[in-house]
Amino acid sequence: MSLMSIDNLRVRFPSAAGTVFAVNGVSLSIEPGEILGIVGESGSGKSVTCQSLMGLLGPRARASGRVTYDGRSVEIGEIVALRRAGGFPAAMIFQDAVAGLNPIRTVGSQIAEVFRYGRGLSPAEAGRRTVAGLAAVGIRDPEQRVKAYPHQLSGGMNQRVTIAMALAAEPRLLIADEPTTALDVTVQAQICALLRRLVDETGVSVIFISHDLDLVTEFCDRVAVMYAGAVAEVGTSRQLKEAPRHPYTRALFAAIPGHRPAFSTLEEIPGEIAIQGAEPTACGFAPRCARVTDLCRREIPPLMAEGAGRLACFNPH
Amino acid sequence: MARTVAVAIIRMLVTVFLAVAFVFIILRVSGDPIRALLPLDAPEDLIEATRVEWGLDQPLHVQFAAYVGHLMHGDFGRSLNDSRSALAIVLEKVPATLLLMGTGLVVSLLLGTTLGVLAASHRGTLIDRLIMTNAVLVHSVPSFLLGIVLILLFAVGLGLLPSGGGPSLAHLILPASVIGLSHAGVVARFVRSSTLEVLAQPYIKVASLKPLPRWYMIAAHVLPGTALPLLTLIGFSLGAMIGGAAIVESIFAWPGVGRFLVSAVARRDVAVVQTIVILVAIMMAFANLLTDFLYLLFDPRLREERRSA
Ligand SMILES: Nc1ncnc2c1ncn2[C@@H]1O[C@H](COP(=O)(O)OP(=O)(O)OP(=O)(O)O)[C@@H](O)[C@H]1O
Ligand SMILES: [Mg+2]
Repeated sequence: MSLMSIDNLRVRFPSAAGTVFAVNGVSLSIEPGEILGIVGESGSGKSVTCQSLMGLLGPRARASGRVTYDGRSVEIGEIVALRRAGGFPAAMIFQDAVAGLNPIRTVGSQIAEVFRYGRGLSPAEAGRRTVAGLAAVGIRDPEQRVKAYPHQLSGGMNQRVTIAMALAAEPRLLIADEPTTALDVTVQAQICALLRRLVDETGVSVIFISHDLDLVTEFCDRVAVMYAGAVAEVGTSRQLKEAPRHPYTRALFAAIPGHRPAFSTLEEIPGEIAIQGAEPTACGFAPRCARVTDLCRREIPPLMAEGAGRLACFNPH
Repeated sequence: MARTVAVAIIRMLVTVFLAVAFVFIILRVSGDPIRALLPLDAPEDLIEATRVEWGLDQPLHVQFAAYVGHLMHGDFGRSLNDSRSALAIVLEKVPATLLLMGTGLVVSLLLGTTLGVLAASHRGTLIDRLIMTNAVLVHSVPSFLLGIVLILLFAVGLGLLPSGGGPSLAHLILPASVIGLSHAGVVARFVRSSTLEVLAQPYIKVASLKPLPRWYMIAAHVLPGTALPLLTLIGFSLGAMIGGAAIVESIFAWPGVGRFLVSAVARRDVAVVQTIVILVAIMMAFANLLTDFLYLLFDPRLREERRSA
């Protein structure tokens, strides 16, 4: 049974200038101990999908859809209450780790407070767990590092700190929104290796958003490809790399000259990124698709089980 | 660190000197202390004799040089009123004023911070508007008016509290409320805007995802971020508060430095006025220094800059 599944998530942002339809019927699921990658070009709704799970959309957003966690199903609007009540142990880390840490508090105190006030441990026990937590994310000299302030640590170190902070609450689902984008390649690889090790050791599931297609197919168990607020294709990394079915997925891989860098070269897919100013009524990729049919312009392709994966295309490869 | 202190002390000395010169000239030019001191029908030769006795017959610059010379030796001069040491009389009144201002400050901080955070966390709602309207209101009402309203209400009307005198706890409540209330308005507005700024920080979003109790979130993540700008505000408003204390003390007949200052100015009692001015200037400089140190205490980044500089 899946650890968590999202069913038909829709998010729009109404405003005076017009409504943005950011997410248009996303369905996804993640297994225990799995790393699920989400890729897709800028604006495709990756972050909004994950933010809606954590209740980070802000007051203007209108969201609908259901989330099932551990066999219990709630409307997306109730997910925060469920998490607060302990029924949805999820945590999230972000691209800019330094900005996510309080600049006037030591990193140790920001981890320890989770043990102390979130889980009711004694100060001494919280301190011990904090040091152990830093050691677990590969920070050397953790007894010294607990006293450091965020600005005294490197970007990679701070990202390790935020991972330790997220894990302090013992989540079963860790959402990582481009956690390595701001880091150089070596550090990026270290953080990915760390996440993999933590998954193996603790059984936590990870949703890993990235722009780096190569990284994702190398590092994640399964990958979901998003386009214009919808899931185009889901499959194992190997499936997607070796036999992509959706024309968009295929274009993505074709757009990687020598397989790196990834999305910066996306212009090579002909056509413009769709701006979702209206409720979609057709396949979002149709205007740019080489295999487009009449049906693609009339109807939204449903996301159907397709072999071991899922596919939303009327005319796949 | 030693340099910071040295700079602060020099700045304080310059400020004190300028203030002393300014007050000296204003008080001497604006009226004759002897006429204020002696009865209206005093004979001319008595007036002249008193003037010579106090050195007031000398040219202004000579008087000023003599005064500064005495100050250098720690001699603050004597009160025209009863010939006692000006410093001794003023120091007698300091505890009452400190008590009043300290209580007022604590009241304004507690009230203003609570309301400011409340308004910010209910931004745009009725609560927010209600708090902000009242904050502007109490701030724009002059403190003498607020004082008189409170006297009419609690002392004359309900007879619950004494209208003036002291110092005692019962006498403290009304004047401290006036100071506290009128400053709570500024503090509330200030805390609201800096709280909104802090709430928009990414680290607040991240911290809000942790399973922390609400009171702890506010105490450990939101308030420390607003404390620094608030410190600056307190530093700035201390002067206004001291000025306000003179008015409030006069209304409530609170036996402090402020009320004494008002009567000393009326008597052209230069030595006393100058002593108070010097004490206030020293206190302000000290408060500035304290603000600097508290900044360092709060912000580790500043601390490092200071250390490496
Ligand atoms: N708070 C918001 N208000 C209005 N529109 C928003 C808001 N947040 C996101 N959007 C819009 O929703 C769409 C999806 O944004 P989202 O951040 O999910 O994209 P993304 O796939 O994460 O892109 P990127 O790769 O650049 O991070 C975009 O068009 C974006 O402008
Ligand atoms: Mg994003």
